Amino acid sequence: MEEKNALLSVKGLSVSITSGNHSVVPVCDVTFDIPHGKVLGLVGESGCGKSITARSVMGLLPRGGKITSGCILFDGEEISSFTERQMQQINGNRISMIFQEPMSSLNPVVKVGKQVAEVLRLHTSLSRKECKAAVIDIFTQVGIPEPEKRYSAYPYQLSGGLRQRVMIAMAMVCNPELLIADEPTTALDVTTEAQILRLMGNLQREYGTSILMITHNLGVVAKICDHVNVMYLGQIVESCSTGALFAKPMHPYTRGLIASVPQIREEKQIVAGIQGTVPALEDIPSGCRFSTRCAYATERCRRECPELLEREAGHSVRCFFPGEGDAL
Amino acid sequence: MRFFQKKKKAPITDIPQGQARQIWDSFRKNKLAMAALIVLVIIVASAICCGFVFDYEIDALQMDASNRLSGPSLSHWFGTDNFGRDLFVRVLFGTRYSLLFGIGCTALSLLIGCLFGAVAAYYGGIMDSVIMRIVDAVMCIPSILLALTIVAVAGAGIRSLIIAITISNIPGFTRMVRSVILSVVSQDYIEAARSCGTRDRTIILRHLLPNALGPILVNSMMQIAGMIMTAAGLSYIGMGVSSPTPEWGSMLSEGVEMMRLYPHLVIFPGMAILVTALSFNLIGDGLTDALDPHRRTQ
Repeated sequence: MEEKNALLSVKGLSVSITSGNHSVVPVCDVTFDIPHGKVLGLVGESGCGKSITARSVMGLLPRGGKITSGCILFDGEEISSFTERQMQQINGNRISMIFQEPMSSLNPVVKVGKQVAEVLRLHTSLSRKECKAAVIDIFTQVGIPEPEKRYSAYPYQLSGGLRQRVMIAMAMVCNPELLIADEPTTALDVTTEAQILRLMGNLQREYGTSILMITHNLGVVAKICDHVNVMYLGQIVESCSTGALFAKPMHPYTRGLIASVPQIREEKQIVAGIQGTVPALEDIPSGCRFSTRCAYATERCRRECPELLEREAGHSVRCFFPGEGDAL
Repeated sequence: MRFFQKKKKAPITDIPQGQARQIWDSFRKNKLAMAALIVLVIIVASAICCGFVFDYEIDALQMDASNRLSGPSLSHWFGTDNFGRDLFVRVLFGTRYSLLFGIGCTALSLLIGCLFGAVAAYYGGIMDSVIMRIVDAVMCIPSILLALTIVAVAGAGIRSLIIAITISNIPGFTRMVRSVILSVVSQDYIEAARSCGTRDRTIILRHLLPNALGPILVNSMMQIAGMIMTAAGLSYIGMGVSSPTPEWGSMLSEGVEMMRLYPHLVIFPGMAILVTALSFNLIGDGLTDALDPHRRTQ
């Protein structure tokens, strides 16, 4: 993770969202790099700040959202201070995004081909005809059968998998350097999920696109990611390579996540879970944020918050007792 | 059962029929709305064609003292008025004014209401507060009173009547458009469009408004009837189009003094207002059902 090579470099990012007169901090001091042509996974339960992190990269924070500290460097440029106009030139062109719900992420009254062509017309000077040809070309690449015919289909006439392919086509049509995928396969069934992941992997290798893959599915991480950041309550708790994540998870939260994936074995087993639920952002526990749910929490964990420290080469953990409690 | 059989015919790979087609099919099954549509087509056609058959100056305006206040007959279908003018021809020409007021004012207030409503809903925050507080303030004044005031200031006449009705209806349209757009603004595809770097103007014009069009259209259809009646009402009390222009409202007010002896003077213009307003309302009702997929009859 040398800094020079990083395409996207997020440093100490904190985001606050104010509504009315109380505000919450869904993202707190998040730091990560995405090198050129690599896939970074961002894993965690719902509500731990994954999507907000992605949206702050795109400059699309919800109403009341504000970056309170930190910076986002994209290709050496500080984009967190860009104006809306400047971001509009980058979004869809150099950074693009795939959303979770292919069912609702396409405008229902515009033909899908036109929607993809619109992105091209925004960012390139191609003529209408050239745009159409380019769209049909990208439709073929993302594996949409009969692309000419689908060009003039409305979203409701396509299946979920096809719609997600259209979304991918829309995100890839300008050949972006960074693709942010916000749980791209959550709404799809397993076979479609496998196809979509394969497609994304192929496109990534072909074009050398970097991907920020947001997911809560460790299977997706295993399949496509090079490096993984595990997030909990707005903080990164563990950052390591995909191999190390499964071979030697150090943070109790990561271990819990891995243990909660059911495995196919001969004997019956009870799937282990993590006790409790993610606390609300309004009452973040003092000390280590995971201490309320951690089976190994000590007095010290409840008192002070651990730093994200590099325990092994390329493997950082935010825990006082990394790797302990192997009995899990 | 018929529904399933119909579906089967089309191969799965075929693109299903377009949305407009589905809406039309559903609308067609509503007999009342279809009847209203046919009536409206006749009304519009007669408004356009009456100029070819009759001469406005001679048939609708020229007085004929020998033929005053005759009842409906074969030569004068609706009878004649106090000045011997043929009521049928006058009602026909009156259609032009009523349609102009109804559709013209609705279109104008819709245009301006869409602009304000969409901007308020999309940007939110201060922009929303400012626009909506102004709307609230204007809405405090009853719209007919506001229209009256504007006409009183600008002077009676077709143009000031249109301006008055439009202005007094803009707040209602703004509020309606805003509430419809608010339900669209939070949709994922709006965020998806923003993530593609789409400009605000394009998002409002291409993504927000087309998706809000259904409810807006239905509401406007209903408003047309209201506008026709407001125009007739203002003309009736002498604040709109004045005699001898054949406007239905002013025809009513001319006839009302003699309605006990010559009821045809008020019946025909009144019926014209009623039928036109009713057909717009019924079409609006039919559209409501046709545009709502849940209520769409099979």
